[in-house]
Amino acid sequence: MNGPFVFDTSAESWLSREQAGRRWLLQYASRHLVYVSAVTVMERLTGFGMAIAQAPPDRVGLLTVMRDAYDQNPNRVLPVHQGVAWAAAELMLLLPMPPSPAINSHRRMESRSTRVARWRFDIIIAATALVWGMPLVHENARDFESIREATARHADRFRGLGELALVRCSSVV
Amino acid sequence: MAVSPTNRRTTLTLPASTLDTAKRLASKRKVHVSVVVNEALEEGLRQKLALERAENFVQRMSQAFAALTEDELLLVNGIHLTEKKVRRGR
Repeated sequence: MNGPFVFDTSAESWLSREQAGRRWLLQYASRHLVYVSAVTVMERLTGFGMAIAQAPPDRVGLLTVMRDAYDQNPNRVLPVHQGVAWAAAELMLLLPMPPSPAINSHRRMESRSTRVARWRFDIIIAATALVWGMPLVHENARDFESIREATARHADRFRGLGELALVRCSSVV
Repeated sequence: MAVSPTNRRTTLTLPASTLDTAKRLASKRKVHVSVVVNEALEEGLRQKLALERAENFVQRMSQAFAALTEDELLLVNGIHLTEKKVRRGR
C-alpha cells in the first residue's frame, strides 16, 4: 500500500460504509493520516446540517451524534492556501463546465447552478491533491479523469506539479 | 542505558530466545542489551498506538456514515437535489 493519499468527499464515506473499505481504511490509517481538503469538511458539515434541518424530530439526535463523530482532526484537513487556489483557478479556466451532467432522477434533480458549484468544489479538492503531491482517492472517474487529463495535457500551466494521480477507491479494497 | 530522571529500572520476564536475540544484537553493535530491548519496545508500542488511533478513526467514521439513509448520504457527499416541479395538465 502506497500513500499518503487525499480522499475525495464521496470516497471517504464510501470506504467508511463498506466492510471491505473499513478493513482497508484501518490498515491505511495505521500508517498515514486520511487527508481531506477543507472543502470536503465544508461539504460534509453543510450536508449534515441540511440533513438535520430536514429530518423528522426523532432522527435529529442520531444525526447530530453522527455529525459530531465525523473526524475533523485538523492534522488531516488540508487548507485551501494560495498554491491550491492558483492551481484550482487554472483548472477552472481549462474546465469551466462539469464533464458529467447534473443528477436527474424521476422525482428529483440537481439544479444547474448546484452542479456547477459541486464541480468547482471537485476542482479545488483535485487541486489540493495536486499541490500537496498526493494521489487522489475518488469514486467519480468521469469527473476526475477530466481533471487528470487537463493536468497532463497542459503541464506547462501547472509549473512542475506534474500530472494529477488518481486511485479509484473501489480498486483498493 | 543508565538510570536517570527519565529512565527507570524495572524487571521484565522475557522468553529466553527473545533475550538471546537481544543480547546477540547488542553485542554486535557494542551497546547494552537495554538499548536493543528499548528500541524494539518503542517500535512495537509505536505500531500498537498507530493501530489504536486507526481503530478509533475507523470507528468514528463508521459511526458518522453507516446509518445514513441514501438521501442523507447524498447530502453529506455534497449532492443537493430538489423536488421536480410537477406540470399540471389543462
